[in-house]
Amino acid sequence: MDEVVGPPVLELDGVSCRVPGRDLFAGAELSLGAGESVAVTGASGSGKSTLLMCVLGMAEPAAGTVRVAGADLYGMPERRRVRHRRDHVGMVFQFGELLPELTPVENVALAGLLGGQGRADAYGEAKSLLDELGVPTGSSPATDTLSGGERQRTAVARALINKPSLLLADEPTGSLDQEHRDSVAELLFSLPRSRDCALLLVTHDPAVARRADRQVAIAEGTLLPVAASKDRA
Amino acid sequence: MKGLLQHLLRIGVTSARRGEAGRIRFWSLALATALLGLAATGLVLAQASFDGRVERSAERSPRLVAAHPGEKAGALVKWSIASHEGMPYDITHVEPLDEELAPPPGLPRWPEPGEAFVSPALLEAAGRDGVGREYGYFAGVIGDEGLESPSEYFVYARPSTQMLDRSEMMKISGFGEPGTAGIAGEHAHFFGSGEFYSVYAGLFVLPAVVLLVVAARTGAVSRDRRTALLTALGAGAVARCCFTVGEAAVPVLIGVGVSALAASPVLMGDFALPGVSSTVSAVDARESLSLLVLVHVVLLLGTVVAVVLLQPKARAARSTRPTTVRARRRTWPLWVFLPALLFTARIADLAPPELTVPLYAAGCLVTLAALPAIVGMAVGALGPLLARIGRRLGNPGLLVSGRRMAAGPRAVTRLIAALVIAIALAVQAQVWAGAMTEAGQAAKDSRDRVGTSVLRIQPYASKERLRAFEEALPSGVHALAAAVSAKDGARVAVAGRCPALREVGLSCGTREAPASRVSADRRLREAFGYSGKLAVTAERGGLGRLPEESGNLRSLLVVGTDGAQLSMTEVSRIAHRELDMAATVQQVNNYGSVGRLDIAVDWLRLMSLLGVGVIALAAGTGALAEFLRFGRDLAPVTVLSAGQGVFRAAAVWSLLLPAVLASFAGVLVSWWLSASVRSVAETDPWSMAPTTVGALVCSGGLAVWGMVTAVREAERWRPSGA
Repeated sequence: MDEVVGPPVLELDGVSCRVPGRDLFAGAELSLGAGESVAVTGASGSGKSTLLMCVLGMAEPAAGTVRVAGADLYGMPERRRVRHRRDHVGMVFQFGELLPELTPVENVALAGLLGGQGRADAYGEAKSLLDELGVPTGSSPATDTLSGGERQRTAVARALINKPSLLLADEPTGSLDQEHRDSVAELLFSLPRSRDCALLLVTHDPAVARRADRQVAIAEGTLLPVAASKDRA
Repeated sequence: MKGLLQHLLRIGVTSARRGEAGRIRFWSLALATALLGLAATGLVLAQASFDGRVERSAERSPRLVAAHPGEKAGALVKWSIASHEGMPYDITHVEPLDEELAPPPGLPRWPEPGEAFVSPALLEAAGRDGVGREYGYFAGVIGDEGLESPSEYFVYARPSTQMLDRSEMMKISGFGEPGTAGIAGEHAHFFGSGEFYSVYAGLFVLPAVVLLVVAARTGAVSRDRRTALLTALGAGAVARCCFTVGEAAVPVLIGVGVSALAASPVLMGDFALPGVSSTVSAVDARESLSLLVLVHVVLLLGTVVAVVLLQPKARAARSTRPTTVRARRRTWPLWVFLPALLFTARIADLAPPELTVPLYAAGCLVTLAALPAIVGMAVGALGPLLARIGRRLGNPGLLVSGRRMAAGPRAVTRLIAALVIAIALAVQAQVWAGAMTEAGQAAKDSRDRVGTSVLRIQPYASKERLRAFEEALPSGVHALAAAVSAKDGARVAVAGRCPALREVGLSCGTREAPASRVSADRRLREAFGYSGKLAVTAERGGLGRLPEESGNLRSLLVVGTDGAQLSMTEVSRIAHRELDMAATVQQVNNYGSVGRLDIAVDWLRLMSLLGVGVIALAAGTGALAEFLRFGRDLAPVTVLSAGQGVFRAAAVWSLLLPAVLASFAGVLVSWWLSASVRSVAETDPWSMAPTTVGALVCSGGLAVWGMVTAVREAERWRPSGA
């Protein structure tokens, strides 16, 4: 569809998905390279989450192929797909989905430990990421004492700890006020270049979407490109 | 306002099905209500049965002229006791003086001389040829109105003209002594209502209540958060209450319906309880119909009120945001637990005898109710340590489990409460059953060793009757008269004809033949030789040759040639026909207590089976709901990191560790609590091994179930929000 900035990290080739009552995407094509960001917009219920699940390897498309980091996601056995996801994909959820009992460092390190990192590496990387993203870690605050923005930054750090080549974000600013929304959005859209990964971000907020390198919209079940307009303000 | 409350009720009904762990809560609440309903129904029926028993017992109780001097004597009575397969029962021997006097309740007429009316249960158990002929001729069965319960063993017998001995009988003016417990009957041989209610409350009602509490608090975290949301939206106590009532209404209604349906068979006809030789009378059940209806109405309202009361106060949850559940650390369980533990173990020394059983039951209840909270506190205190270790080792499961245990000890408490109580029930049932079995074991062993090769018959009658009895015995059956010295229990005088004496190894013709307990005949040893040496003096001649000074310690023994087994029925028939109208024929050392204890043990096993089953449901529900939440919480991390192993580790630390701690604590505390029972009947501590192993296996099962539940929930989880 568009010019790829770096080597392709995500490629959708003729992808169609079927959900109860309707067909989605109608053979969608999308290519996303390292260092590039794409925002997916659309009305509620348009299929944005289905697209993310398809890319995550959790909803097999009715037709077409989904390639992540060069591998056909649905052409591999389930166990390998899970490992491939672990090695190449990170995700930021709308509500953070952090464990409130753990400290931010522990929340981030947990993903690293589960991803196979050693203890020292996981905790060191977690602290470093949180420091870099401006989340307080000094006195080991409990996660549920953080502000909404800090919680989302922690979720971003967690998504980054396994050094993904593809970063997915599902309405990451949906639950934040404007100030926090802007800071989290700025952080997210800076990551493709600073971390050499691709970012696929789902949002219904045009202001956030405009920050992406490219925008696509889901309308009437079809994935359509939106006129390029990048607003990093 | 009315519209709002109706709306909240409707929302509650809907969210009961859709909330986190909603279906588990819905069905476990329905199940808990149903079981609580059945427990309450059981109480009502038990009370009705006890009342009915007392009432019918009083109605058939003879009015002794001695107690009512102004009344005219219309009949004579005498009681004797017999047993069938170790089950004791009473025989009322009657002799009408006034044929116009109404016969005893349940009899269509007075029996003719030598006739006997028998209860249907005894007739079925012993057979018409058995019990029917034992007391003369079978005349018919006793009607329900003359029996304490449909399962009662009872006999009305009228002595034959030849055996009638009016001097040994009491004058009565009729039947019916309202307000008094009957002299004879089933109630005299079985445990009373106090013992029953204590066991029933501990083994069935308590587990059902625990299940209700666990069910009501299932999915508590998300529901408490919703309560906080309602409060934040301005909902007052009444509005929150309506919401909770709406949530509980449908499952509670289903539970009440199931309970009512399950209870209905007892109203249709007599209902034989499985595993115990007891039948609930349909008449008694119908008498309590209005009370049963009332109980179910109270159950409906009471359960809903209990569910409402089990919800936290609004101030306990301040935020609608997903947060750590930081429960206030409660220390009161510790202050209740220790005194209750010490007091209950020494209850026999501290409480008056009449209050021992209820106070013991209450002490056990309090101790066991507080124990899960104690284990929860211990686990809560262990949590930070585990988290530190987990962090140091880089073990995600240990880290997450430690943090969660520290943050939510109440969740752990709920999880293990059921397990602790199940263990306590199992230990108590085992100790009591062991004690009761031990008490009857000597008699059982004796019965197993000699069977019916020797029988004891009383009374020692006149010489003429003794001779007639001896002559009536079939060939190969020998009678001996025996008297235990009133001064020295080890000295026994035995009299009989030479073949009888030789049969038990005594030489005929020797004036005095001291014999050691070991060398004496096996049957004599069982009859007399429990301790020390037995000095047996043989007196040849006949049964009537026993020295007079032996007095009322005299009895008869009947043995078969070469240790052959004898027919109790036949010997009993001959004894009633030739010896005495109220003769008793029993196996030696079987004083009718064995069957009584067996019945109690059967009841105990039935109750503990019910109780442990209900508790297992509660434990399973708690584990399932808790790990549903755990799986849901961790899914966003595990779905991306392929880290399903964290659930295994978490199941080990969050479920297995508390459950194993609870298992050992449960066994130890229950063993300690049973001290007063064990002081009466020694119990081998190793007998607790199967319970401990069973509890550990259950713990392992819980952990596996929890892990599988969490993994499935995590696999089902999908990111949503876009």
